[in-house]
Formats: sequence, C-alpha cells, structure tokens
Amino acid sequence: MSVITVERRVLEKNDQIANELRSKFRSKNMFVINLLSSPGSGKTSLIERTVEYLKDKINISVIVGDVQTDNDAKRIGKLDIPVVQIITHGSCHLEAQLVRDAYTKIDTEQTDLLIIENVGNLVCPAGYDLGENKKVVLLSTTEGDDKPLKYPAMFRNSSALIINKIDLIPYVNSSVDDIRHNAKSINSSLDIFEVSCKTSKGIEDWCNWLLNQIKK
Amino acid sequence: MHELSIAQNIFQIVNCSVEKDKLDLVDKIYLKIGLLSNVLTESLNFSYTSVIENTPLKNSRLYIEIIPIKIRCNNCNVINTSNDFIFNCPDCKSLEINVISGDEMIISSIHLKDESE
Repeated sequence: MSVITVERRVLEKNDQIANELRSKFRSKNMFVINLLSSPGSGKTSLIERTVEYLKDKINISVIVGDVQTDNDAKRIGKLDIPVVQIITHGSCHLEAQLVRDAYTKIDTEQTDLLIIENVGNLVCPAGYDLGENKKVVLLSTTEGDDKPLKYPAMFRNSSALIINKIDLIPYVNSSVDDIRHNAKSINSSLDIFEVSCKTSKGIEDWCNWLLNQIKK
Repeated sequence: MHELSIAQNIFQIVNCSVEKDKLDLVDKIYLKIGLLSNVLTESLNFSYTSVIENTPLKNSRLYIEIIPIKIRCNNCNVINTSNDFIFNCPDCKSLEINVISGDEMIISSIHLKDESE
C-alpha cells in the first residue's frame, strides 16, 4: 500500500474563483453582499425596498439565483436596474463560477452595490464563498424563532441578520427578542435589523448600514 | 444536497493528485470534515458512489473523520472543544469567541493498493 498526502481543501476551486472575484470587485470599488435565507423569507422583496430607497443615492446591480424561473429577475428588472438571473437547474446553492459567468453581464463601471440573491436555502449556501464582502441572512417572523439554533453555520458565517415581516408579529407566534437572543448566542457580532418589506418599516436603518459599509 | 457538488470536487482533486495509470489502485480517501460544514456523511458517501460509477476510481471509498467545533474565548483565552453547536465560553460564558476549527473540509490523504494486491 502507498499513501499520498494531499491536505487540500475540498472546495479549493470554488475558493480560488471567489478570491479572483473579490479582487475584481475591490478594483471596481464595488461592495458586494450575498443575501441568504429560506425560500419565501422575502429576499426579493427586501431587494425591491432597498433599491427603491437607495437608487437615487447609489448604483445597484443584482444577480439573482433560483432553481427555476426568471420570475425574480422580472420583478427586480421593473425597478430599472441591471439584473442577471442565474437558473441553477436543481442545484441548491450558488457557486463562485456561476457568479463569475453572471458578473460578465454587469456594467462594472456603473455599480456601487452588487446584491447577490442566493437560492433559498439555510444549509448549503453557507459553505460557498462567492467573493462577497458580507453575507447577510434574512429570517422572517413566520419561520420559527429558533431557526438560528437549527441552522447555526448560516448565522455564524453572516455579518448581518434582517428580521423580516415584523408586521405579522400580532398574527404569528413570534418574538423578535427570542430571535435576537438565539441569533446572538450563535454569533454575538451580528448586526440585527427589524424590517417589514410590506410597510417599509425599518428599511431606512438597513439601508443606512449598507451606505456605511460602502463608504468603508 | 450540496454533498453531490462536494463529491464532484473530491473526484476532481483525486484525479489530479494521482498518476493516471494508478487511479484504479485508489482504495481509501481520507477526509476531515468540520461539524460546521453541514455535510451529511451518508449523503456524501452516496453521492460519491454515484460520481465514481464507470470511472477508474470505482473501487475507492471515503473515510470521513468529523472534526468537532473548537472555540477560543477572546475574554479568558480558554479553548474548548465540543460536538455541539455552542458558541459561548464554558468557563466565563462570554459570547466573544473565535471558531478555530470545525468548519474545514479537507482531503488529507489517498491510500493506494499495491499493484500485486
């Protein structure tokens, strides 16, 4: 029997492409977020509210990933900003190579903020670096306050948590304090925002955080 | 099901780590996978079996060592290792901790049978 010592990261190819993307983003002064959540938490709605609030201040482009359909790209496209749809045909997460291909269709001179809307999934996307500056996780009040405890890697790897659908709190058994407590127990450095994409409550605070990140 | 993507990555790395004419001798592939990687061992083994079908690696098997989560407290510097997802210091209860291992996914070694075996 012979042994070959390897000591290589399984996702080294993804990480290499992600690092190349990060260098490109930096050279274009582009701030990039990787937006993550379960299906139906409101990622596309958050992008709509964010673009409405920020589009007179900065240039925003969006890459959106879905298993099927370009419905989200059509929604976001109505806001008159550049949007590229990635259809993964079954794959449950975006990989750096898919983002690299989509990025060629973005006008890099005209983009201050690039939002990558990942496939709705709280498990698989956590491990794939897309070259982003920050991962942002979205959780809605209808999903269960213990989601951060059930999907710790996602909340551990993110820099910000947005709690969406706070307008529904009177109708569902949810406590923002419990969500905050559970999330902080996994990742004490999370910046947390409470929003309603329905009423736009809280969108200003979230957008100000984004503007501050872009200035850094 | 990111295990399928992981299995394909393992397949590619083994293919370029072993000389072409020795690929059919690959017997065991040792992996270190951190608990925080969200990898289901059974699912990865199943995915790998389907990836290697009809290839020179068809007789190889994965040997997966699960790496527990190791955290260092920024407050009291105590290091703690746990098989649970606990991100506070067991000594001083501080939440200011760093994960120092448990999120890795590494191919550590490849074992080949001798040609005579």
